Amino acid sequence: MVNYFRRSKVAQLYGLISPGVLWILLFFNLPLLIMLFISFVERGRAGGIKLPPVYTLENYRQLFNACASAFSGPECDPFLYIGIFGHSVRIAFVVTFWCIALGYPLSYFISRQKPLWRDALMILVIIPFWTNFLVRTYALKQVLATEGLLNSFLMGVNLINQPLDLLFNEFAVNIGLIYGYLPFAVLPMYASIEKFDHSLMEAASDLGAPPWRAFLRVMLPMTLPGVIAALVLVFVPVVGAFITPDIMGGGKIEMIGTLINRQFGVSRNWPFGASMSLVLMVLVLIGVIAYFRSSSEETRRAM
Amino acid sequence: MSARSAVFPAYPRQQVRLTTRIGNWLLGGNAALVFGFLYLPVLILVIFSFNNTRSVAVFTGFSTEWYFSLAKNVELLDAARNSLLVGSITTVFATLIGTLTALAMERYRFKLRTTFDANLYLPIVIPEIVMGIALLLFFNQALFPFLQNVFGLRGTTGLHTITMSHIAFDIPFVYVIVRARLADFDRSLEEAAADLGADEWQTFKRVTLPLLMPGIIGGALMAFTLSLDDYLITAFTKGIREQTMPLYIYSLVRRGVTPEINALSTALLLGSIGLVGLSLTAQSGGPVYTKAMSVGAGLGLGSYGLLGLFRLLSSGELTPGGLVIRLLLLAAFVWVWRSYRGFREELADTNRSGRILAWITVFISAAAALLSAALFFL
Repeated sequence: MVNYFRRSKVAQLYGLISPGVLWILLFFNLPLLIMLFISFVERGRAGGIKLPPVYTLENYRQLFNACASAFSGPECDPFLYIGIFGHSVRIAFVVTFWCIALGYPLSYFISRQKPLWRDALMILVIIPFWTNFLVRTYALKQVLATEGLLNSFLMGVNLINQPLDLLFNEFAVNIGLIYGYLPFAVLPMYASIEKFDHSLMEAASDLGAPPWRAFLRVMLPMTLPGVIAALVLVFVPVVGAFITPDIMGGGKIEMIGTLINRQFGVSRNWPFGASMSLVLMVLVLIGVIAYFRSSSEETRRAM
Repeated sequence: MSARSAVFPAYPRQQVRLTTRIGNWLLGGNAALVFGFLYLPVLILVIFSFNNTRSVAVFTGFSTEWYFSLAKNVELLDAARNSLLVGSITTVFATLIGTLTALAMERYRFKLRTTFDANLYLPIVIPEIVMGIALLLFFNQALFPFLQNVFGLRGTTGLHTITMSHIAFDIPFVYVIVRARLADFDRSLEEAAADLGADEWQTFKRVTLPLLMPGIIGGALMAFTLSLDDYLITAFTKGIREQTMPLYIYSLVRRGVTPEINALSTALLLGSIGLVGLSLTAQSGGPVYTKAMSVGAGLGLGSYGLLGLFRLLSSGELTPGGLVIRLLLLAAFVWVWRSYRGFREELADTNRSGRILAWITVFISAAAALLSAALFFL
């Protein structure tokens, strides 16, 4: 047996690859296929699906016309679900914008420090990656809470008379998402900026370009791969986020993630949840594939 | 030079300096703002975990009562134990499978190689909730009905389904980390080993594996952290009774803000920082740190085994299960003894600051191992 493995390259390959292939096919690809199947059948009464399966396009039609469902009332907004999708995409863009707007100058700042400082600051950027996401979200929640530190402070210095509602609204969700995903933006941009040759800026300056023009014409184009990577790395998880809108939005802000989650909780409409998950996945994959097509192998390696 | 300045009038030096000075202030201010934003809430969280009243806004006095109430919370201890169990099994399997897959993908050429490579990245890029839903549907609508109809077995969700799912989403992360390490691998070292008469297996064991170790340990720590922290996939694959740490915290956090959560969060933060430290030293430091971790882990487990054995002997009740566990843990001491020699050799080649860091690594690993063992076999 052992000798057989020593002799045969094919046997070695099968031995090495089969556990990974089997596990991923069984617990990742097959579940996705099942989800695809379930998104095309009718719902069961209390979750699950109707047996024997009845094929239908209802779950996708409902997404584009919320009133198509037999359960809809008289005051029904046909664009309810599409609106939530649009809303999530908008939140994701706002969050991505702020992550890049704050993260790019930070990456530049870090890259200009002396090596020791640079490493120390980068460790500060990396620590949140390894910290429990729930714990971080909770840390922000307790600061913004009605009886939290920020409100007490503002009332203490007599800036406000009664506590502000800083939680359970879209502002809170945005802040929470920026808080959660800012480090994701810094890492790829830092990788890009660190490799940038800063003498090019001096060259541009010597050739008469004012700093802003040197930045726009030289530095930004050359560090753009990092910015685009940051865009993808923030946008993708934010658009499908569940934990932050649920905790910071307190059930009042609906995003795709919370909407999908509800189909498996109170709404008990599993097939509809499956169809929305698929649409979300396709949405995200389009973004990722566009990114991979546009970026070169080299820039991806840099990450 | 002069001909060029005629075409592009040079900006006065003074103005350039002024702009950079303001620019530096702005950059520094932005950095302070961002780091303040990222770390102040965490700092406040830690401070108020030591408050002696229930307030998380006014600090009235120092107290550690919330930590003591944590240690007595049975529900929490159960959840922590479950998390550790799921996390360790996940780490072992995901690290093993991920490493094997990385080796196969980097060292062999075969059909569908690029397709499978892309497929391995998918679990990383698709939203976690999608994977959670897919697994929920898979277990409840496909696997369990299948087991019922074909074998007459009744499948249920529980810690085992959580573990299987965690392994599935951790394999890609280990794969990516180990493969990056393999891509930078200097293959002439393997050729040298072959030239010196080592066969393929010896080369792998004595050359390839030790050089890959930092990547493998980095991947393992990553897998462990991801598994311990995961809420979404766990929430969709969990059973009715058992919960894990994130599920327990989530239920608390949704209810409100209390100093107990602050204390619990602080404990978790300490754990995370320890893990990051270990991971970074494993990946960027030399072999002395990986050896230090091995020594530390063995030391922690072994000392727990020793403590437990004393208690077992003094109480006079020799239950076979307890004895086996203690003996297993004592075997950790033998392991330490063996790895300690290698560690000492490496230590001799390290400079002063490196030696201090290595001993700190031993200490942290030992503390982590002792704590986990204590929690686990309590």
